[in-house]
Amino acid sequence: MTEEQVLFASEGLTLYGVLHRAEADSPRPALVFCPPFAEERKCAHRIMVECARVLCPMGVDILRFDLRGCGDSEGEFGQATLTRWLSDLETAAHWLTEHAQPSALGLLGLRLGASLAAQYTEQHPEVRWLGLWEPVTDGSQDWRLSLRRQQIRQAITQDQGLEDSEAAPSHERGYDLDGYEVSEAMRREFAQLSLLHQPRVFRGPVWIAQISATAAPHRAHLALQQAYQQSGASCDLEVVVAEPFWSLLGLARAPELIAKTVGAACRTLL
Amino acid sequence: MAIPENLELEIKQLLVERLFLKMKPEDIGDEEPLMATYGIDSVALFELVVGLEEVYGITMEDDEFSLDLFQNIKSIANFVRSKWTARGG
Repeated sequence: MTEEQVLFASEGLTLYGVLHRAEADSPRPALVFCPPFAEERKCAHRIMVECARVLCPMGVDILRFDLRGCGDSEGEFGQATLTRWLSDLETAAHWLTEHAQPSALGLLGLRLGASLAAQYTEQHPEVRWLGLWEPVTDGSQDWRLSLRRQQIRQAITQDQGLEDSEAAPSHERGYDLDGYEVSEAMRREFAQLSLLHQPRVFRGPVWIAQISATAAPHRAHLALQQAYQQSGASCDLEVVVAEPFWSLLGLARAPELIAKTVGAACRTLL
Repeated sequence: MAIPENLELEIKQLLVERLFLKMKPEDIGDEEPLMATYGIDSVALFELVVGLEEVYGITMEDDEFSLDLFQNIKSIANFVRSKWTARGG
């Protein structure tokens, strides 16, 4: 297995990625990892790398990449929109298909990355496997929770007598989300994001992983599974009891999630 | 759906579950200061708020949020009761 840094262009911007190349015979399947954004991308980085390093030796090429304005990719975060990030995902999947010539292509995403991956498959139903880690199913609800998370953090910071550098939302400049400037265009697209109510072409297989403190499936995940199944898609939902590693700055571990993900991906792709 | 008689104990169970605390819910005192005793940070507090909203079907509005609500189990229970009363039980 090798890991190599790769660069590719998306609408004039250079995107950064890492290609995990398997040693199995060609042609072999390939998978694009779709990251979340902002702080969640940083916090989830380690788990996504670990997952790639467990899955790749099974014989799957994997491309991890940064959306524009995130990580090591070019671009201003404040100019990003969901449409542009979806375009970045298109470019990444196209790049991987050209370079790896895979026998089958799959996508795995976390949080907003999962939502982008789900949207991508509606344009590309030939995708062989879609893995969704804790997808954002309702953008407006997730936006509300993001603001709540920020409100809590600011309250705790002020309570401890620390100066908080982040200003209240300024709707003229955009929105300050944990120090990331989110444009009004992005907020509007986010508010309109709804995986439950979008037209469905993709027939799966879809694998949804709920990562939560309780073993009971959440209503939103059950509804998403039902929406896929009603459109004739094969869709499984698994619950992994674990901490929300995409919100934790420390050294998070998620061995059960990785094992289940590898199992689900290999069952379909290999 | 009526307000549970053992609301305080339910909230303790939710706290242990959502925050992955390694202790029995009944060992948490009703008036024990939660933030200091259990090292509750912003991530943990967020999980607790989301948990309360999910389990009790309430919504905490932006202008209602205050750290004082999360001082102890009793203050959280009082908040949940007030939300239930406001919406007519």
